[in-house]
Amino acid sequence: MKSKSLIAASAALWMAFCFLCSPAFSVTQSSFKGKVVVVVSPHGTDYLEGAGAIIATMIQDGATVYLVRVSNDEKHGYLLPVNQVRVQSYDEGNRAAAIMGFKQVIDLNLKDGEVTDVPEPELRERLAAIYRKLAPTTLVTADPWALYDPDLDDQRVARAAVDACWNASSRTFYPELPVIEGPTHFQNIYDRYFWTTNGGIHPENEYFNVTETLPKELQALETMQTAMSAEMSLAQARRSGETSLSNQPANTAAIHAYVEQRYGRAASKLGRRHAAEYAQAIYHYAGSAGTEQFIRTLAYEKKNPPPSIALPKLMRVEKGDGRVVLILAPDFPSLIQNAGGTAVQLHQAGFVVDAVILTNQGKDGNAGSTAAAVLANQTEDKNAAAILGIRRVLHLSFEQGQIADIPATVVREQLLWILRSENPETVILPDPWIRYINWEEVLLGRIAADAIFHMTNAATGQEQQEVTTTVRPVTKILYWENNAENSGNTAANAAVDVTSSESQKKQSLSALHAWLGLQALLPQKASLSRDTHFSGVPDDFTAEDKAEGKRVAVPYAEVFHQVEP
Amino acid sequence: MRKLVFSCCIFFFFATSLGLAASAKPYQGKTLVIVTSHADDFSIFAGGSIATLISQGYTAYLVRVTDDEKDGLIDPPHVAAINDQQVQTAAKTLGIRAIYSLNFKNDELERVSETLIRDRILFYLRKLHADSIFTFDPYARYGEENPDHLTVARAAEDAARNAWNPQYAPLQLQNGVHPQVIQDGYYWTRGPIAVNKVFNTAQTEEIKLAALRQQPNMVRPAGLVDIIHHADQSTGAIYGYPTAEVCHHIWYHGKPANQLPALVVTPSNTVRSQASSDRSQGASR
Repeated sequence: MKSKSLIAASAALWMAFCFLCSPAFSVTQSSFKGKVVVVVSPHGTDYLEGAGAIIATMIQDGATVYLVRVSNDEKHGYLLPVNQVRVQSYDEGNRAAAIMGFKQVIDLNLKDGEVTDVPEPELRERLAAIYRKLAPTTLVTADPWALYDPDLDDQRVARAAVDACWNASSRTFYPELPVIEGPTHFQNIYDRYFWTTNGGIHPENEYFNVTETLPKELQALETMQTAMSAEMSLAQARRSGETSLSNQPANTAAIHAYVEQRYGRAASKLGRRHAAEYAQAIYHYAGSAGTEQFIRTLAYEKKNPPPSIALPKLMRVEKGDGRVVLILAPDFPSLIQNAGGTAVQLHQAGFVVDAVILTNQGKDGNAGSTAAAVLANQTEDKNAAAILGIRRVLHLSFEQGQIADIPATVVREQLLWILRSENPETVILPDPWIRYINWEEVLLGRIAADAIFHMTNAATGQEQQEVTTTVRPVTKILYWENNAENSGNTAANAAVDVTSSESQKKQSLSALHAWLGLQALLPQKASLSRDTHFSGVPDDFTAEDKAEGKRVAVPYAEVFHQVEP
Repeated sequence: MRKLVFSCCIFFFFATSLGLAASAKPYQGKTLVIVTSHADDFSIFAGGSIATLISQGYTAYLVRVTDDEKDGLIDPPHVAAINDQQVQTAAKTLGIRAIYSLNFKNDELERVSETLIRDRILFYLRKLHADSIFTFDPYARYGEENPDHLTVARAAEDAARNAWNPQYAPLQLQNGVHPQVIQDGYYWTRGPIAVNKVFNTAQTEEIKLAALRQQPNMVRPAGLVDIIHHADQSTGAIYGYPTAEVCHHIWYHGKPANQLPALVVTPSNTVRSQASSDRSQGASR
């Protein structure tokens, strides 16, 4: 439906809009001689993939650099049992660290793929203890605010790493540590560098000439054979559309070629733009000047308002030939409003469209009891789905309004079962990286993105292999966009003309009597019908589709941020 | 005839005066609930905006989520007690009518159920008949690195979106507490957000600074008040005001087309004006 170049162009434009904290993009002037740097890496390969050559440059410059490896990497390889993967990843990680020249490697040894469920205060305390001992001047870690990095581990680790900077400096935190460990340093880490991986998007404001140090990064990456072999196999399956991953480990020559091609070429491309043979970019954040940096951003945005919002490109819906599309939604009304018209178009083109509803919708009714609302909604969802051409609706039935309290891995496990048994080619879901939307849409979007990221990894949810045979990687993700008017969200890069399906959309929404009964309580909606006992579809229901349609010159449209993993 | 002309003049005089008064206080009769993670957040990041909204008619209340035991230089029990005392004075200086403390553990909110925090905030939104909220922006990025801020912002936003729905925390709905439609929210920030509202705080900056001086235990070291003032001046310079604060303003259920008076929803599926009977309980607020 879309070319990768369009996605790249849209992503670049989006990146330009998204919170440029320091608009200038400049060569680093920093000297790291005598500095103490702590690198906090969620997994053993992340720091190499995100900023390996930059870290090697810091070491070459005279910094003393420590590596904190947070997870045990047991899921970074699928050809061997997890314990063996863990051993190999550990040994390979230590060899890579030796190549890089770290002074010391500190392993927190948390469960790979499940760090997101470790309470942030616990992780923060462990990192703060390290900071207090080492007194670092500089932190290098994943970007806690990167967009479209699907790995939940990355965000959890990065946020804790940043939060621990201040906590380490305050004597009111962890008073037991000096007693146990002896003298410690109470100082903040103001100098912070953020990378992003897994296709994440973030502002980059500094680049390093890494011509001398890139070979170290590439050599270290090649040493991580277990992880690189798995990564190569997945990339190959995605490119070729194969239904299963290779069952043979890649040989050294193939890994060498892959690493050169993927990481060497990217550094060469950036280098050409900055008069260097190889360059690497990073986001440099000065924690001591946060307010000043924020005010500079305000001034920049005032002088340089973003040009008119990037226009999404109208997608041509191909023939489906029975391919499966899965729509994930917190509740059925949100599915209809954000992707109902697209579901109709896909169904009419020959795709098989299935839907997964995350919550029990027990609060979407006014019949007096949760049970009555659940029952009514589940029945009415099926009627509405039939109108849209959706083949079946799976209700996961998590308690509505309480998703924030459920461990992410519990929800992910359920989504993995469905993804692996449905093998969808395309997944449609809420965009969790846009702002000012319903919080359950954010939670579902984040966890589902992580599930899609993990679905081809046999080490995650191992027992599911007993009943699921082949697992085909998802080739297209459509994150639905909404609330553009309220928020200035500008991530949409694709649109579907839903003019001919608007009537089905309205009809399906009309079938949701329990939800409509609840909406009638809202005075604004009630006032639209001039009737406090309002029971119809809201009059402004089509307004957003109409507004999006205008942007792509059709009467009605639904818009998405498209990603090809 | 002269009497008639005189009466008309008097009528127009009062009508014009009332009109001017109304435009100077566009939020007269409305309630603003400020939800703050820590006792100094609201005064540092939005003190001028809050004082401005109060001067424009809002009655404001403060819901303070944590006990602030870690923001000070001595032991946590004394730090919490001092901060508790100082926030009372600061809030009063800004014109806030009352403070409600939820007393969760400072800087450890990520251990607490977000649903629990949401529901406790939701109770106060309903009890105080909130029309609007003011809190941290849940979507702030670089620069917003305190997880408490984001947790509270998410919980407050979730509460504001759902306070109207009687299926949320239904046990709260007794003794005059009803579901409440929260019309809009203001989100202050200390990192990049989608700024769509700028408060000219020229008239209220001094009130803000006075409030900050009431909180020396948290607003430290010496000179920090001047730094905050300078930041407000720098922000103001961008937008052509002597001093300013920025925020994101959001309508939770769409902007009311005709700016209806705030309405409350009762579980029995009837809608009535907030001016009706339960409004009369205002004295107990």
